[in-house]
Amino acid sequence: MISLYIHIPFCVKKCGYCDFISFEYDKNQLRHYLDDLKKEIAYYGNRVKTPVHTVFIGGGTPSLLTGEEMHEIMAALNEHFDMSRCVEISMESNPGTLTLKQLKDYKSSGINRISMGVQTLNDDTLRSLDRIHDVKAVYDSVRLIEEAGFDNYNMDLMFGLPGQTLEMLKETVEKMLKLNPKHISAYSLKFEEGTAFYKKLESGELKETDDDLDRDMYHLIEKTLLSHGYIQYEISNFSKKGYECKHNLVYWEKEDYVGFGIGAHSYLDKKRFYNVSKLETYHAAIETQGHAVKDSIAIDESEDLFEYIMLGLRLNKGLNILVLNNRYNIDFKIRYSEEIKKLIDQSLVEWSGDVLKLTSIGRDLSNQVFLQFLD
Amino acid sequence: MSLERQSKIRNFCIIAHIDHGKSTLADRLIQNTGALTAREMKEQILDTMELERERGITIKLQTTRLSYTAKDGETYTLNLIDTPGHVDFTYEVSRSLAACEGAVLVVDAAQGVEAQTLANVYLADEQGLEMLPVLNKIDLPAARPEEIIEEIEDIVGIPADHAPRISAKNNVNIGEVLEQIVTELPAPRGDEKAPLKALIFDSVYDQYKGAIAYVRVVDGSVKKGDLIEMMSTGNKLEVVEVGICEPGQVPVKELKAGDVGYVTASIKNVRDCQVGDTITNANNPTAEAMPGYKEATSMVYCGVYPAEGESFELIRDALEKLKLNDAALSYEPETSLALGYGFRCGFLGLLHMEIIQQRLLREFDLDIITTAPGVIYRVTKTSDEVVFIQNPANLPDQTEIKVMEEPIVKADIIVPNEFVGNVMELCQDRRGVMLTMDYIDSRRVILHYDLPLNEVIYDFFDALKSKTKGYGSLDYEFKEYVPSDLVKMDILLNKELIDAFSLIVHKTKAESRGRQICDKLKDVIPRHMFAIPVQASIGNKVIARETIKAMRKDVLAKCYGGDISRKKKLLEKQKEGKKKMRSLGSVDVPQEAFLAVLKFDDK
Repeated sequence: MISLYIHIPFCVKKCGYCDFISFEYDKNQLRHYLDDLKKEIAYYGNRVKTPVHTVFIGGGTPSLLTGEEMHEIMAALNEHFDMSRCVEISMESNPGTLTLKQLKDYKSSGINRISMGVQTLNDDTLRSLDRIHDVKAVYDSVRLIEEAGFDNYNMDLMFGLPGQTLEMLKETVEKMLKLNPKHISAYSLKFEEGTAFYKKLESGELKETDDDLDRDMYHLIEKTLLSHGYIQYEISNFSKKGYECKHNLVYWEKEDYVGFGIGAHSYLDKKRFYNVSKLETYHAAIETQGHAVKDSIAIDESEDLFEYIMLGLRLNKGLNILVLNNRYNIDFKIRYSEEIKKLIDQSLVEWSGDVLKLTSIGRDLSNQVFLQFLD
Repeated sequence: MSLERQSKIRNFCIIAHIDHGKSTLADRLIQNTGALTAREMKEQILDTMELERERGITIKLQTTRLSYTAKDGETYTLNLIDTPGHVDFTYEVSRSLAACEGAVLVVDAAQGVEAQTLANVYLADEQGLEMLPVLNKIDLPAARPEEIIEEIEDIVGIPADHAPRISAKNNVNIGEVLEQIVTELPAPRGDEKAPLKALIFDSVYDQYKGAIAYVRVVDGSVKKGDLIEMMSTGNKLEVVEVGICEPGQVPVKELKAGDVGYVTASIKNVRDCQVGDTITNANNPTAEAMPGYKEATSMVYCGVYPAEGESFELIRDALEKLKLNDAALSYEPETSLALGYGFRCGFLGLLHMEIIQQRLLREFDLDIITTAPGVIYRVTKTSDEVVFIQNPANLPDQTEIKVMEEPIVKADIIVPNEFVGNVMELCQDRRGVMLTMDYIDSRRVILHYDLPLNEVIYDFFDALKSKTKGYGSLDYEFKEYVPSDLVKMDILLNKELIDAFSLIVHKTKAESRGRQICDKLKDVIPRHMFAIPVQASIGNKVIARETIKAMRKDVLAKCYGGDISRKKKLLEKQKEGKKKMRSLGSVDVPQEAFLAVLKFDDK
């Protein structure tokens, strides 16, 4: 099985904190881009014969696509890939860019999961993030999403935002819970180099939330969601039972995936590779060679093992040592006996049978855990 | 005959405040006399070390022989003897000056006379040098030549109305400088028949020739095969080669009175041909050596240790190599509980220290940790034994100390008058005693202070710059030892004493320094899995305390398809960073921590 990621690099307006590849929306540019996406899909479709497990359409803002355009993309997938066993097709959306007709078209094209970049339910904070939507738009969109027949949708929730207090976050979480989404992803704001926010951080206009408040916020979210029937299945992800994002699990369980569009990454046959990140080069590459791979990142056995440990430990279900030993033909407990002992002494990890898991502190300090396994 | 020959020679140096254009002028003189072809002419020939160019200062001297045909139709040999341009090297400067009859005094036509201008003028005066003032940067919009001429006449006390007005950068009016060197500066008047008397004004180490002495022959002559004697040590050696610098070394048959050149004699290292020493003929010695010889003495000390993973032996080799060429550098092995095996190194001053540190980093590619610089304290024990302490760890127990003395320097500070208040505040804070204050002109003031050297080396220069918007200039020299109320302050991390952080401070400053250091360490030491108390103590008494809180967050929130390689890189970087840290007891300390405790803080 294989999973597919499709990148739509256009937005109405770039958010100050965002470091994903995206450009200002332009109708003609999007048209040209979709045409080449279809070519890239065809290119891989002719070479990869494994059935598709999940699809994720991310961005940027995929909800800038009209219903017809989404149908085109889905038609290309159906034409070139075996979609008969595909269990999940997600797309990201921006509240405030959605109409009922559009949503119904998405649904009929095959999309069965919507992810919404809500971030916070406080209008002042939304403005400070340069988001184009307000709180009302979120409520409107949720109503439309449900009316269009989607029962599975995610809300992105950000914390550690400029000026955000614990109280403000609590209010947002409570409001969000009233909407009862099936899935919530919770991230603390990170100042990524090259973003407008990073410049403001350097100039002193913005300040990073201090680690103690950040963790108080994270634990507040954890506690509140768990008490409302959500399960945490990854460091940053919560869902109702059975509604884990199957596409994202592919990343963490190191299954194969192919990315389409600019800047998209792929992991196939134990190789990582990624596409060019400029529109012009993307178009030129697709026209001449059918794909737009810029470079590949070689991963040897030990790096592959490290990734497996790092990604596996991010999951709440933990790292099953028997599976790992089998996959890499090692004895994990012997190979890392010292490291594991140290981490257990520090209360960062714990055993549950043959499964190694992060503790609650371990989730806060997961890098400290991963570092132990890095050569 | 001898005087006739010498009348065609001019030995001179260029003196200036830092950045007033000394090296640029030197380059132009070389260029305009054709000593080098255009292709060979790189910017600032004389500053050969990369580091020197970067900082715009001259550290190692270079000497150049120029050939100039003057308006009188005669061809003159002009020996340009370079001088280092910083307070740390006052002694070296004075020896270079002693090798000359005249000095070209470069003054920035916009900035005017500065502290180092004056310091250099005093030195030149002491050597009885004729001075030729030159106004540089005349093409700057802010240039005010008339005022500066007046300033030179008033403060320096030499006529300046004839001073060439030049732009060394743009090669304007350089010919006038050359002409006036011939007409205004005196020729040497040595006795060619007298016994050899040659002053060593610089020495460099060459791996093939051994130490090379750069000399000014005052009297007599020297040639290959002569048996010479170093007058300070009585060492006798046979001359292997004599030559001149054009600026590359060109062997000649003989150097005679009035000449400037080099002498090689299989001298093993520069310690054996120290700057300031006099060379004479062993079979026909001169009665008296040149006055003013001093052995190079270290004023500032610090510990140099291998950083995590670096080799002690490589550092020793590098120091050995540097020392071959630097008589003022001293080092000896020492051991620190916290840092292991390393060296205690002695330097002329802070700049000298920084230069050596940078050379270890860059030229030798070594990863080093340096401890806070300190000075030499004179300690009289209750047993009346006198010991000199340059490592705080070696300070005798408080009960065994009768008197403790610290070095005081005489400092001249020149500032625009609006900053006088700031500077006085700074000097007072640094336990300075003001001697006098004079107005240089309507805008600027010269302050004479006695300052403890251990306060000067604690980032005084940066503090002065920041409190005078960069306008303050400083010059200082050692004055005397005076009794002082000093204590040893220790720093504890997680209750463990870290000897590498210990320092000797004045009692009145201990608490504020302690607080400052704890605060700095709190900021630069990353959070650990446990809370870390950071304490400053005198004896058993804790005088300052901070706590580095336990780590609460170290997590990469998002980790999807495209993030995996990136996150892995971040983790690798984090791991590298951790490797570079030094484990002091249970605490991992980054290298910056050692620097952070040295830096002046305005808050």
